[in-house]
Amino acid sequence: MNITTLVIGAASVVGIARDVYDFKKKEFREANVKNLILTTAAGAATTIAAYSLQQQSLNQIHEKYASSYVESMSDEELERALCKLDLLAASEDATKDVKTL
Amino acid sequence: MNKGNEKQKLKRYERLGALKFQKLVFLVEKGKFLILKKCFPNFIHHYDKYCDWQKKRALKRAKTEEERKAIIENTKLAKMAMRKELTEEKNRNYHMDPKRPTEIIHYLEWNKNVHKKGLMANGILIPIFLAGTILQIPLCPWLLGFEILSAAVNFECINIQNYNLCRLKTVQPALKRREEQTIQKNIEEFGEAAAVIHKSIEESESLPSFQEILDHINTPEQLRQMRAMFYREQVERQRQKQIGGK
Repeated sequence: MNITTLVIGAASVVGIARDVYDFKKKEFREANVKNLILTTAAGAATTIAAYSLQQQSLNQIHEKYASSYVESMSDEELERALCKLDLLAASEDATKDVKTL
Repeated sequence: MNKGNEKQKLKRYERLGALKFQKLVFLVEKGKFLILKKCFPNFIHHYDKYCDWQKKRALKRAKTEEERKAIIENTKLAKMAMRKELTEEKNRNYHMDPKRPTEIIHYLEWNKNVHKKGLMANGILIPIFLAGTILQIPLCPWLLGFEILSAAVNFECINIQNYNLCRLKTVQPALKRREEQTIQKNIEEFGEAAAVIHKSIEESESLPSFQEILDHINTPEQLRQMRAMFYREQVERQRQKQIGGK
């Protein structure tokens, strides 16, 4: 994190604090507190929504590539892949059984 | 009113021979794949080399890292798409993918533009060869005949694309909804396995082998989803073969 970001961040915190708390009267400004809560909640909701959208786009990209890859395999390649997957699953089960014993 | 117009357009395209020409197109397609598989068993190897050559050329012109990434990814997608065509023996320009039904609209538009350009070239060459024929220049009659045949084929191809585009555009919203539902269902059922495959493709220079994909599996859930995905693909192919009567 560079110094500029830290300075801007610190200045923002100080600015918000001065907006919300009256240092002379030593009390909170009610209206500004409510505004701060609403703004923070809206900001958080926007961040979560943006993250969800980004994740959904990423999921769609994964799905597209995975579908393309599976559909591009010949029947023989698909059969061999399934055998390998079955073997791997069987060896996983065997390892689990050994651990249980 | 719109539906009435669309019906009239469809009738016009049918009168111009869309459905009959489509049968011929499918026959030629069948023959093409038969010849490719029997006479050119290494076709996919040569196609990959062609894709890599195109990629190198495009990368030289690329200015940003995003462009470079897009070129590399598109090359991989093109290689997978050609393999799929060979496996299914279905040209992506002529057949709708049931999982992604709206994708064909892009291919139809692209195909139509190719034939439009061909028809424009025919429009320039036919008068030239006609003049040559009249002036009794050797070979001109043959070339004129070839260009007239080519123009007829280009015209019918454009007609058939218009017919299919007209049909698809009337049901496009329903197709889009179906596609989104299918994709969402795939994400829910196979999301983790899909992420593993995508990661392997991203990390690989070309297309990864299946062993490379297996090496990226870390959790039992990824393995379970991958098995389910591959089994479903196998079942779906068997179902398609039964429907196709192969």
